[in-house]
Amino acid sequence: MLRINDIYAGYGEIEIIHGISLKVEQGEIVSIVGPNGSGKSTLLKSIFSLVDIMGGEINYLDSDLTATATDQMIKKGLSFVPQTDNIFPTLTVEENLELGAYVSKKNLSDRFDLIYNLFPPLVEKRKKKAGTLSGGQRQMVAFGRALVMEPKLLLLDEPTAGLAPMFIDLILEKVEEINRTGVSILMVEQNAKKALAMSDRGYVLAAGEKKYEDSGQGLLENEEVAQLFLGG
Amino acid sequence: MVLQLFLNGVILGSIIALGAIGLSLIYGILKFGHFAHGDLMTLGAYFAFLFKVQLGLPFWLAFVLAAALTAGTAILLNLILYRHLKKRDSVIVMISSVGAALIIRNLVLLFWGPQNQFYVKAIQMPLVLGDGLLRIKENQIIILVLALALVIAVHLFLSKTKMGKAMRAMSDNIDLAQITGINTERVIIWTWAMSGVLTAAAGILLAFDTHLTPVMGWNLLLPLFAAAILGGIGSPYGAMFGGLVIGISQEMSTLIISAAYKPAVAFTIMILMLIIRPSGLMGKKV
Repeated sequence: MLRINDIYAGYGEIEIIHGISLKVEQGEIVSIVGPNGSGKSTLLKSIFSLVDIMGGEINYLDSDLTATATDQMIKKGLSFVPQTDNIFPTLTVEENLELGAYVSKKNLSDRFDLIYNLFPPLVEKRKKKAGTLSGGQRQMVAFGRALVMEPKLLLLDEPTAGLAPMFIDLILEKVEEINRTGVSILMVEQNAKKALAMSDRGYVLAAGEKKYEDSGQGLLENEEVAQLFLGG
Repeated sequence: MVLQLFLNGVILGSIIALGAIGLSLIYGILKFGHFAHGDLMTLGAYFAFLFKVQLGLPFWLAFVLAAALTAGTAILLNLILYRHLKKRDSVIVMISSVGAALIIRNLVLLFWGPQNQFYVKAIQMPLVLGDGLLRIKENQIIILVLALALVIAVHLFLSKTKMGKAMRAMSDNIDLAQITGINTERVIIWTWAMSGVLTAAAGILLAFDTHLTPVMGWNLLLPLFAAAILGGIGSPYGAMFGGLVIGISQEMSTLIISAAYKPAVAFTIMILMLIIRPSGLMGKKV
């Protein structure tokens, strides 16, 4: 459903991604792993037109995303949870979810119930400002906001970064749970082993280029990858 | 005496608050200090003068038309000036707003002249309450009621409507607002429109309390900034509160020091605030 073809991207004059191709098929979980500064986040941002694209194509369900404005992505069924600053801190949990449905003209309160079912701890916090919540709960709000519009493809930028260990497993379980409802997932993840173990396919990036691509299991069993990128 | 000064402070404070809400919202969403805000206030007051005195319309109609025209001016300023410079640097936009301020002030001078003008020429007898303890003029009551009504309207807009929530969201995080599907250009136009209405209201109410001069808004710019910073710049609720604090402290200060130093009070509060707690009383952490 998503095909990135030989993309070059970066900020202004500085090119960070040097010709990467990747794809996500319907229903897949695809992980992008690699060391810090390898361009993983930039690659996700380029899909959402949040960085400057210098060349290449991004094709999503037969439409060209490089010509699509950031605020139009959600209407195409694409949703994005950035790594940091992924909630509206001075707005309440409920208002964060309402804004997730900003482009919809309908009342989506039944969708909110689904979100609250997925993340029960948010129920009693619904009137609280999102900025006052714990790291794990903020991440739930960020996921909730991104899921209200029932996206077809969800982009996750390091969903477990900065979380306590108990929340890391919880969030990753939620990712699988979301995927089982039919949402395809493309995620960047620091916990490479855990991410690859749950992924259909994975890509290893280094210095803005694609080094390896294989099934999640294949990358885990690849000795070269293990030594260079997964810490032995 | 103390009570009287407090009342005067609340009246001045509610006028400052109306101006500061717009200033704070613009900062929150566009990240620059809008130095033409004071002169936009002046312009709003003179628009009302045009409709009320020169064209003889009723006060409420003059108020509505002036607010609409000022909102239009603010949107126009954004369209022909700020929008183009925004891509460059927020300092450049800020300096350009100083230029816009000078242009507006001189246009006011050109059309209406340098002399003081009045909405109503007749002398008003104040109502005397509690054995002469408190004096309040009828127009001051109107000012308080109108300011309160507008503040409530702003609160309802920001907390209940989709556009109001989008405005607060954009002030929190512009990138995430776009990711969420918010059309930020539309939010910006709404922000200018709303600021324009509130600014015009502040100018009209100030002129209603005293008189019109081409420098009335410029002279109030410092207290406006002080109020916005005190409340935490970017936070509309902080600006309401900051406006009241600045207004009351300015008036109450005359108990101890000469009234000539009133503007220095706002300046002192602003500097103290920037030193002690730069994020303001209700602002986000820096």
